[in-house]
Amino acid sequence: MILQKQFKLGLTLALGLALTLTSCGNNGCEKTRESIMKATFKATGKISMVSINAWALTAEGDSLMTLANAPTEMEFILKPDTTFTQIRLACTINEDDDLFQFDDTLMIKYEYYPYFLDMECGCSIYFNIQEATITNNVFKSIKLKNNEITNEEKVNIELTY
Amino acid sequence: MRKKSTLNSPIKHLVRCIAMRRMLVMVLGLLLMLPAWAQGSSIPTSSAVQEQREAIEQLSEELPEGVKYRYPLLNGMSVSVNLFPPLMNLFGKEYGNYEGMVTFDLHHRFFPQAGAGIGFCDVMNDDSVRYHCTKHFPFFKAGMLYNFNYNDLKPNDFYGAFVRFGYAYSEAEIKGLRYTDAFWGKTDPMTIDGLAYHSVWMELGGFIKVQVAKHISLGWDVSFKPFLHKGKEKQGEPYFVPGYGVTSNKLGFGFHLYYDI
Repeated sequence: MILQKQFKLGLTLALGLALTLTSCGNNGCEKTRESIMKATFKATGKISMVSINAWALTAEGDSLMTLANAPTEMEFILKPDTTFTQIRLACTINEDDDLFQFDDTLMIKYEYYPYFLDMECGCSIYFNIQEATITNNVFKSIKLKNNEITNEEKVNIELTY
Repeated sequence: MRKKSTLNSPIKHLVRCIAMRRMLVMVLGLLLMLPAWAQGSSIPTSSAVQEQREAIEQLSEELPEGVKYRYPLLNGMSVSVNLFPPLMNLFGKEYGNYEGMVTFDLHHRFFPQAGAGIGFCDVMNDDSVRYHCTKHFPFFKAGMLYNFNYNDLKPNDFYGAFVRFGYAYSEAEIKGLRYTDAFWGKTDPMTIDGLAYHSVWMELGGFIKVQVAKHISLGWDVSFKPFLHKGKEKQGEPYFVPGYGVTSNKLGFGFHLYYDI
């Protein structure tokens, strides 16, 4: 009886220890940390967008644009320690097989805050768009589709031309 | 010589077999005597063995018709502590839950239980991000164990399944957060404070309980722990919930020390 109990005790302790050891581990960060603002372009008339070049008008390092030559959408990485940016959009359009160059300015007022992802990834910076406006040389309107800019891929702004 | 050897070999083989059988019988006899020797008692007499056999035969009889349970409604109770978190702390974990539970034994089939404990965390990663529970927070659990072999003749060792529900409130702050992206580089360290979470979860799993001494049992369990309500703040979800553990780990382990009353 005593031997049987010692066996059971040993078995139980061994299982407990095995569970203890197997629960250790760290898989590292597997999440996307960058929060990117996405804008899409929507055509309503006869004109078509050939190309767009974009750059920041405010202080150097205010904002960054990526995918500048994509005619259907554009991605922006906002600066995490400012709250306002102006972006010049230099658009080349095609109207009746003629190419024209127009510039518009996109203005975005936002706030930013750190978002805790987990201990492996640390944090991301999320943005909340408070106001977005655009001049009306090429673009007719701007629609705020999702004012939260997170690490999930979502369209935030729709620009109609 | 060669011929003589050939004639004698079957006899020698037979002698060897007989000797080996005798040896085997002696060794088996010694082995059978070992448990009795280990208990410090003398070899049981034939009448004692007969008495034991009769007692077991009496117990193993089928339950009388109309009787569903071998054991009474209130068959006992136990208090227990979970040794797994302290063990984890010994292995260097910077968080933990210390919990105690009261379990009632109903017909040795259902084991309703309730418990409470406190959880703490102060975790720092390699990048100096520190997740800190602002104090020790209590948590509460309630649930039921189910014994698969509730009419078993050996009631002290059993296994089964369980379901538990847990609730905890916690507050946390996170320090040393730095955000780095490919273009803007690294920000200054940031702090998130004032995080408060109400969390509710379920634990579904299996367990084993074995008696190791009079009134003392050990048990372990493994469980799957889905959140029913995790609690979320604008600036993030909890990394640690008291009573639950690290929220990214949906598997739970328990290693329990019971005192059976």
